[in-house]
Amino acid sequence: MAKPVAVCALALVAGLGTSGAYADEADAKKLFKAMSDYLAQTSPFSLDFDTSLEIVTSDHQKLMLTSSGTVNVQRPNKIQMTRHGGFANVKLIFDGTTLTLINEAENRYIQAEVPGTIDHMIDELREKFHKPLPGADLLLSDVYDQLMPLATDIKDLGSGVVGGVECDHIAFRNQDIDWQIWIAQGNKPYPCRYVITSKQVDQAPQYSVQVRNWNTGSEVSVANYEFHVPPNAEKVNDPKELGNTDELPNEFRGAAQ
Amino acid sequence: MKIGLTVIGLLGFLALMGGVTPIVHSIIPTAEAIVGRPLTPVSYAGVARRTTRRCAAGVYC
Repeated sequence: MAKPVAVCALALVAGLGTSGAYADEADAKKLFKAMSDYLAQTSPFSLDFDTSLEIVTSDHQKLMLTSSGTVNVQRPNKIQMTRHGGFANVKLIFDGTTLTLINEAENRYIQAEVPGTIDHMIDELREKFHKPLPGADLLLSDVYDQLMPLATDIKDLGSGVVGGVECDHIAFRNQDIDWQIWIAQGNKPYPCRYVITSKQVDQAPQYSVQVRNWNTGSEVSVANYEFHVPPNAEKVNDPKELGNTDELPNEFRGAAQ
Repeated sequence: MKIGLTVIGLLGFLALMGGVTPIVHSIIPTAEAIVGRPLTPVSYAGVARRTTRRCAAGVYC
């Protein structure tokens, strides 16, 4: 006898859950577009970042690897990045023509001619060198146009506080991954934090980038984007000879490679 | 007159010393960069993806 009532209650709750989604989505899109426009127009800019990369062992243990680094960008075609982690100490310099990737821990480097913009260099790194730049989605000159079409669901989650800064919080879904972004409130809507959840992978490991010390214009320390060969450094021509430049150490063995 | 001479004297002294040495803020001096080696071998079955855009088939992202 109670069954029909219970079913009605469930339907009501389900209905309430989906209402209001359109208003949330429009606001979220607006915030994301504002961030994308701001990033495209801002040059130079610099930031410090902290990353955490989760991996899941064959015993279903979830581990987290952490790193920190810096980014210095001058649009459209100059970038300097460093990343220091437990297993790699790397530097990337791009001056619009030559890309240099330095394994500072092992004093080796590789160079490639990749004339063009930062966007083009990021694509080449991924396609040619099989070294996709983590978090590079946010360095693109058209973040909104590249990332928004990939989202099948968008949620405006209000705001959160990241590193002491109040940031608007948006969540996106697509088939393979869920991802979230926190965007600084105010007239400099930079990305405070970026989290990608690989939900199709056992234990849904996450990759997270958190930004601090966002600086623009005259606050940015001048970078010359020139590469000076470190003393006794070895130049290699094959990316495989560069050594450990990933956040994930080579000593950790992957099952599916 | 005396104060002016003192300032010039001080500046001259600093110039002789090669300027002020910048303080290097780093936990690990670059010359001895220590790269950790995991002592426990780990075999992983899955890793979080690090870009929203999909990578080409077969390429770890």
